[in-house]
Amino acid sequence: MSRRLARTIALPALGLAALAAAVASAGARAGATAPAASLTVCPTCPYHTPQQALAAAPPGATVTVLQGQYQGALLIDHPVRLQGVGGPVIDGGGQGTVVRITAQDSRIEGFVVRGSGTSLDHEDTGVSVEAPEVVVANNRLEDVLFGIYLKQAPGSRIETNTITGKALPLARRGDGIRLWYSRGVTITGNTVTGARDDLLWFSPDSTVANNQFRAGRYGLHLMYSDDCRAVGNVFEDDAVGAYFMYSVGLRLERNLARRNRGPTGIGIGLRDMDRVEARDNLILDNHVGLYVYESPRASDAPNLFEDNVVAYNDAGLALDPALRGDVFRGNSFLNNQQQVRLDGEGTLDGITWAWHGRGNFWSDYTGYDADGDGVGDVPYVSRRMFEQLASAHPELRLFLLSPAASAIDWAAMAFPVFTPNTVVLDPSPLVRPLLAADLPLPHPSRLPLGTAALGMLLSTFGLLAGALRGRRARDRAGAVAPCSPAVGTVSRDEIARPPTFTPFPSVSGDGRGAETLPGATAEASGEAEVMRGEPPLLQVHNLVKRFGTARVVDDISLAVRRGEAVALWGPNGAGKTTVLRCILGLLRYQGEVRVAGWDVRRDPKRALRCLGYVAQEPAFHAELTVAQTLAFYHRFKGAQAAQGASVAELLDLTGLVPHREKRVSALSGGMRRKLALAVALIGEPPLLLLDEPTANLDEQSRRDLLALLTQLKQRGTALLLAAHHADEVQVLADRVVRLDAGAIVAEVAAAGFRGRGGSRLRLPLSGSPRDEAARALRERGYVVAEYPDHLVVEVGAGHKASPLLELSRAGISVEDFELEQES
Amino acid sequence: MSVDAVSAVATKELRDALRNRWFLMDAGAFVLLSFGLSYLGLAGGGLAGLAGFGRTSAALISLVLLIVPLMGLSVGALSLTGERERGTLATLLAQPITRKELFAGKWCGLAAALAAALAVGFGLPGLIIAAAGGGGQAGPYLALAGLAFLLALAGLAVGMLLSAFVQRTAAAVGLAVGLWLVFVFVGDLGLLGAGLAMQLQAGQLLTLALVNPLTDFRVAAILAAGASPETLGPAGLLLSRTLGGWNLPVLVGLLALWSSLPLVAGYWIFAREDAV
Repeated sequence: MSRRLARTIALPALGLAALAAAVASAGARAGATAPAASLTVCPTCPYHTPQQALAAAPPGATVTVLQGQYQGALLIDHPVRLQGVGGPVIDGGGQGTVVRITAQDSRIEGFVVRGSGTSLDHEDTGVSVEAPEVVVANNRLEDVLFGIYLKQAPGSRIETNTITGKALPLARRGDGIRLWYSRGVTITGNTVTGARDDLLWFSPDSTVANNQFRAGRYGLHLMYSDDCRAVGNVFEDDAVGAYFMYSVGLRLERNLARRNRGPTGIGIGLRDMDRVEARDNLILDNHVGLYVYESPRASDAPNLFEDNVVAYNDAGLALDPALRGDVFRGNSFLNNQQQVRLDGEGTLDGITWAWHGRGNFWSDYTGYDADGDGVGDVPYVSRRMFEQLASAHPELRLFLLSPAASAIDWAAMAFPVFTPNTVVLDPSPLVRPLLAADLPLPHPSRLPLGTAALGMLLSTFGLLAGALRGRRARDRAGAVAPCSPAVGTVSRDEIARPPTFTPFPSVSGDGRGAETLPGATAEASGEAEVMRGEPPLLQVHNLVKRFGTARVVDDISLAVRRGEAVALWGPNGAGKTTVLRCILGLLRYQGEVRVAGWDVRRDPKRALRCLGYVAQEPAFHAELTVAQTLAFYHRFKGAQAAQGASVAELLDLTGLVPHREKRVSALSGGMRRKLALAVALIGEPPLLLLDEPTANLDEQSRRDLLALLTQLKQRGTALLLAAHHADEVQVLADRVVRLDAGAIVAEVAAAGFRGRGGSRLRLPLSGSPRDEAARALRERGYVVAEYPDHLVVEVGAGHKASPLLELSRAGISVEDFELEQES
Repeated sequence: MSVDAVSAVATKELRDALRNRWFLMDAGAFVLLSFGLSYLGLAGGGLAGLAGFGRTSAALISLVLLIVPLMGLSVGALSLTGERERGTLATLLAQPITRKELFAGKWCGLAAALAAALAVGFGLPGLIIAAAGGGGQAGPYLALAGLAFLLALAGLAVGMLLSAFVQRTAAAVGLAVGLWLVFVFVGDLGLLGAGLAMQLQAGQLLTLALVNPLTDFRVAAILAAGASPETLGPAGLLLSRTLGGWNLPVLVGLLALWSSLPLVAGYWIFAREDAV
């Protein structure tokens, strides 16, 4: 271990010593002819600091600084070549300027320069050059306010340096590279990131080539500098890519300006520029691609924009209407949200959009090229009503990309009276983009987008597959959670126990007389229950339902015990179905409904788990099969509990096995009623609500269904049925509750039910004779409803006159009667 | 709330939506047009590296604005009225399922159906662009898809509100289409006209416009695609200056409000009214 450590330390030391020896030997050899021309700086060398070596170095000497940390600041005030070997660091310690060069023909190369001060007033800089013909090359500048600052340093060269600005707010940063009155400077191959600007002021004949300016304010800002060249640079993610002002003769070629989306967001901007030649530039995805303002200043010095690609910018071109003489040809304007924006009032009549029959490619061109010469046969005309409106009223830009903005454009096209001004008229539009083969096109990775898209599609596939798999699983749905009575009410054993039916006392009433008030009836029933110590399975207290002002259910109270079958009997509109719907919680009501002790409003799930419902016209999802329907409804009663009949058993019980794969839409009325019964029986609820279960069925279906219901009743299932047919009552009911106009008017044991003929005898009686007649008829087993001026008596077929005979025998005289046939 | 009951309704609703002609027409149109737009974007670009998803996003924003709210509104409007009209609502509510579970299940199923349609509508163009070498960043692509889904949920919420109090399917669909017209055209055109006629300030225009969920989506999508607030003129700058970095979260919050408040109101009505 220690040997390895020794080797680790020794090897670099030996390397360093060998390097020093080699440099010293080289220096010695050079010194043989010019002894003072080479000095070396390192901890073990004759010179320990660059300052010592610079002080000793004669003009023209080379000072070689080996790897290590050296403290700034350095001043090069006579011409020397300062050469770093192995990346020596010169650290300014956060104070002032780190390296200052005031001697012509000096050179600094191969250093890491870091830690300038932060004073904008003193222009604290990494490398400050204040003499002509200086070379700054291959250095790395970090944590510096200004990177490389040339003040009156004509003919200097800044080459392949990497400059990273201080991590300060943009307004407090300095410039990456700054030229001030420095003619003929060459800036090549540098990378500047996170600085404020890269600035050329009063520095004509300069060349800026193959640099990368990223994440700054102005990638490149050139002013008052004629005859400059900007070639092959990348301006990316700056607030403004490159901005050129007040200069003549700029050549702008093969630059890439991309994603410059700051507050101004210009890719490349020209202001007061003359004789610019912009060729083969790629201007992509900026807020404004190319901005041209008051250029040219003189009409005899027009600008030429040729073969550039301006694509996917919010506005491809933003042009000043005052432009005169500029030429755009061979450019490709691709999918800019707005191809050309007019910045101000006026037209672009002064611009030439085609030269010698060659215009530009516009991706929104809708013309054609019949002769195949690559030039459209009709001019490209850009005129958008919305753009015109937005130019005049910029606040309307808020509606950009809205269908309303498109509607305005369509309306302008459809109704020429609204035709907007023409912004661009290119007489010779190209039908294909002409792109130079070697443009510096970006090649974004296709992986992130492809992965995201594939992820979306796969998750959709998974979702749909899951839904279908769920469907198959539900077909196998098995056990369901059973009815669980509320504490203190009927027990599960009681629910399951076979019925021992005891006919109700023949309590009767019309809801109005002292003996027969509905409440009194309920109380009588309730008392009977209490006496037996078996709380009813269904308890309805003072149920009231209004539709608007109409009182459709009028203060009804009733109870159904386990194993008991109670029929709600009455004409159409009596309120039977409404009562059932209130019990189910489908309708809002006043009063109280409890099923197995559970309040339907407060505990609807527990309550509804204890009953099943068969509607008069059962409705199911037509596209499902019988088995799927059963499986679907199975899930609502809970899938985990161990009790309850399976789908197969329910199909078997209701005789639907041969129809299990039939769609519900293909079922007859009888089959559908059986399916409703099967659904109602899921979880073997102790109570079934049946709304006219045999209505509209043929005779065979009626018999089948009644047999089925009888079987269920014999098994101990309690029934509450809204009945319209006497045979339903006759076969199924133990007790009959007569409803009329929403109120209970009578309640009798089925044994006394005489309504089998389906007729009613109306006897005009009032006062004392009415009361005596009612009592007499009830004593003889008739269902009687009392009204202020008449009685209504249920009468059977073949016995329509019997009540009259009975009354006559009782000594009660009846003068008149009406016979009403039940529907 | 029983997860099983909600998932039973949701699954059923998802399958129903996949059979719903309205929904299939809207979703089909969306998929076809987004496919077409991305293809045209590639053809127009004609070269690798230029045509990526971010480039077709402007066209997709317009497409989403037209179709996605209609998808949400129509399936939402049919959700309860259809069941009510067929009578199946009574059958469902006669089972041990609360109205909350039924409502939640319907919402989940329809939201899943909308998500599936949007995933295909965005996924196919994304794959095509990537396969053709278009490339691009996943972030803006997913952001646009996410915002479109929020917009769909807003439409769904308004649609379900309609279905909670409208009894008839035809009336619900008619109202949904009417609302769609208001959101898509009438509202913005009215504001454009009012802006011109009454010389509304950028702030007033912005406040009024942001009431419309489609504007919330549009502005959020434009900003999420990397556009400068200046793209939207003075109103965009005002939004950016007022909310700073919060402009996108606030817009998403507004969309979330549109996706939830009508839903809560719809449930409130559904829970208190007669079901048949």
